[in-house]
Amino acid sequence: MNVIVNGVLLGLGYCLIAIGMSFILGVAKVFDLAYASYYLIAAYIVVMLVHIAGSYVSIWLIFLIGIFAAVAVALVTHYFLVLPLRKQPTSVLVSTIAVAMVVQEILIFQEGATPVYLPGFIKGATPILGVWVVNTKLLVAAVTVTMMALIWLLLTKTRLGLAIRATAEQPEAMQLVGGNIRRIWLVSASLAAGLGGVASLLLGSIYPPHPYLWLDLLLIAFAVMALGGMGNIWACLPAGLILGISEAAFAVYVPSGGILKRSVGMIIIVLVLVIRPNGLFGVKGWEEQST
Amino acid sequence: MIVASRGFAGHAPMDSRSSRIYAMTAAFFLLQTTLPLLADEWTLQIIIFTNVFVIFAASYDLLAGYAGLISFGHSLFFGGAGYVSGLLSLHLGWPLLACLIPAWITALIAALGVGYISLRLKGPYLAVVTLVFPLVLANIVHLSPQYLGGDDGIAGFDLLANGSLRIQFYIVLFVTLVATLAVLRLARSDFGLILQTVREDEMGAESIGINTTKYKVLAFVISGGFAALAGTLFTHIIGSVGPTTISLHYSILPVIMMVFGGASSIIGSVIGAYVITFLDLYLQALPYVRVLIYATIIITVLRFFPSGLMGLLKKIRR
Repeated sequence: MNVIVNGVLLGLGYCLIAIGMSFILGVAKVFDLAYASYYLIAAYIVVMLVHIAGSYVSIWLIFLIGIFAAVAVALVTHYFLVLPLRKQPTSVLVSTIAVAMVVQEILIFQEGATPVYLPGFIKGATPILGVWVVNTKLLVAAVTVTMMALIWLLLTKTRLGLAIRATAEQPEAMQLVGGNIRRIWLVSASLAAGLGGVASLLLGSIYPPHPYLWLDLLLIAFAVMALGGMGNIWACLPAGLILGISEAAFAVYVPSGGILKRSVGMIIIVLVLVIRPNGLFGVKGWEEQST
Repeated sequence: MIVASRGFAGHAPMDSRSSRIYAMTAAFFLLQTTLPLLADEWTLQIIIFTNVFVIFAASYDLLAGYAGLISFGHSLFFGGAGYVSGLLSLHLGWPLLACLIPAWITALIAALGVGYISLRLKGPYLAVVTLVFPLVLANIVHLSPQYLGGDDGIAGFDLLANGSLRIQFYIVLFVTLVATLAVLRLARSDFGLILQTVREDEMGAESIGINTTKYKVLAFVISGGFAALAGTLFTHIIGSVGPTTISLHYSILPVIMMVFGGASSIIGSVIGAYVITFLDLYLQALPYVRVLIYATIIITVLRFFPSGLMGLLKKIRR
């Protein structure tokens, strides 16, 4: 029971991390390796602002500024790097990993290499099926599900969502009917960075962020995306759950699983990409459609 | 043909321009034989490391530049081979040469494995999967602090030429000369041309009867082998190997060198290795700024001079 409850909550957290990255990939069709850096930026901006102005500014305002900072950095990266280099996917990869390294060094320079601590949203713990669970984790679970619902509403019920889906499927046709695809790509990137920011502020109080965390986050996001199918936003939820439960089970049942636990995600990435490159729920050949 | 029309260097095995490039490369390294007479120990040390990275960068260019198989895990071969030979030397007390050969063989097998696993993957997927392998190796190393060194790594094994700087210098110089010429020859032969064809148009390559599977795996194996060569030299010169040697840093380093010099140009990678290693040296005093400057170089070069230094030189010459 312990394994299942913890695994599910962990998996929902993973899903929350992966959802923004999946959004960029699914909608803008680019691999943005700097995604985890937007996550870190939101957390660090909040920590710094709490230090400076925590006593006279509302914490909600600070959280909002943190998320906007992440969005701003994402916009700059995408406007100056990703959009001009879109045609060469490898250049996008190398340059976004360079951005991630720049952010890492700036964070070390500002706050040192040790983890920072974010203020929590709610305190206390609740028993779920006989297992005591920190309330923040329940909040994470609730927010993850809400976010999925909101993205679904956005993509299917609004004009912007229609434009985003059209751009994802047929960029040329979208341009032909007068859509500004560059702007839609930028909007999608900022939405994704916003999702990353929300994830960071929620998870930051449970898993303290540190400058090198981006690589772990990236791997988690990739494991979830590989499992669910690259760019398939809806598959993040079941994929995150599978990953979370298997990791929780691994840590409990396998000897020295505590150390090896982190390899589970990595092994999953490799296995899934090799055996079933489109993921468990992937649609075959979306990459061919996009290029 | 696509490749030819993009203006890559000539592929005829031995036209006059080609032979001039071999001669210039050889002359560049042969001129260095006089260095131990002129330069102090510190400079020699730097040149040794630079030459090791020349092999590393050139091997990476063959994989990422020519074959277009961008890997973010090249440190697996570099550091992994270093680990194998270091462990053999430390625990079994074998002589150096007997440690090097199993290390290279291990790296070749690993490269074969990675190559096969990566066959079905393209571009970003490949980059991510290759990123994973060194991390898994690092996790395994953490598992046994006693034998594998854990976080601190291992040290105290045999040094190259028993640590004599001058002999080390000549050994590394010779190996670098041979390795660079070999990579250059490979890259400018039909093999290099086929790799470029596979990179530009895999289906097209298949349709004219090229066994793309074979060539992609071969690119991995050859590149991994040369990276292992560089890694074992590096390990036995500094006398220690640890998780840093298989970290992302050593995977990104050849990427930076290649991007700076210009992809699919071995000479460019050599120049990139020289520039970046010397830059690294002068920036050692500023640890935070170092990575920042690296990253800025990558971004600037990719954004404004996508074909790197060699592309820029070509443009100026026209």
